Amino acid sequence: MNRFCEILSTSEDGKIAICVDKQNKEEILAYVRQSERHLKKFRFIVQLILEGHRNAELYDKEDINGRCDNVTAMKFFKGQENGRIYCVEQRLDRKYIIIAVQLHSRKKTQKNTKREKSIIEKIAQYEYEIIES
Amino acid sequence: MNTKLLNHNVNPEYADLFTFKNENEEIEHEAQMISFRVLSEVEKACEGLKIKKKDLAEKIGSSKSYITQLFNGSKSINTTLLAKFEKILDATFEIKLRLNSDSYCDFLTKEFLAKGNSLFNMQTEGGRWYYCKDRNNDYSIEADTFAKLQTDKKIKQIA
Repeated sequence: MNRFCEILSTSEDGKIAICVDKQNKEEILAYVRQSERHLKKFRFIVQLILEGHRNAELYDKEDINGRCDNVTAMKFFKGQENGRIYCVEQRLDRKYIIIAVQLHSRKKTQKNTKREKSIIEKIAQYEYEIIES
Repeated sequence: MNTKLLNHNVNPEYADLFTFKNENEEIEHEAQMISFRVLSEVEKACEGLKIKKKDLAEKIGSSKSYITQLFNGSKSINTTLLAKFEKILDATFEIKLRLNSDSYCDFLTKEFLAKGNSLFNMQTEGGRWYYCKDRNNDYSIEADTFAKLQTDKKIKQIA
């Protein structure tokens, strides 16, 4: 399933890009912009990804099965409101792109629910093209 | 795509997401990023050594929730903690300082040349390739690894 995304930011060497799903952009960005606290967390997560750092508390694979190993999640305030932005990782034009695809503003259980698994399985199928914003 | 914030390139349309309100906010962010960079190395090492966060907590004499707070940014690292990590991982943190006035290519090139290696490039029909020579080996580097070098005058002089 082909979808479109816009670039938010790229790494200094241009090899990694953080993008946002065109269709869900408004909802995702509204969530990030809702408070300084959310913005700060988002900046940390983006910079960690672009610099190639590891931090499973903030960004990690949503490893529910072998068909979804391209799906990851940006994690906002685990143990509190526990928001997630589900992402898809994909190679495109010699770039590694991470697309913020779908917001899940409050994850209530530690294990993934049926609904969450269904979202993850659905977005694992997405393939993206970058469009100019 | 030319606004530069947080040491990466930001789409100007979304600059508000990455713009600090003032210098204090920027310094706070960078302080936390230093902590995250260190913790990233700790996490990678722990994964390699198959040390779980619970075990790491035990070894440094704290709770798992403290480790969680460190990794999610609620708590910051200090040098005593770094020393404990070094001991547990049987490793040493190496510190490098990169001048912000240096481009990424400048930094890579300095690092490479500082090790006594030489670097030159060649344009072929298949594109531009970078050949490196160190004391023991000749090897080539994919063009995209050093894509930015193509326009870097400094590198051409070295080459």
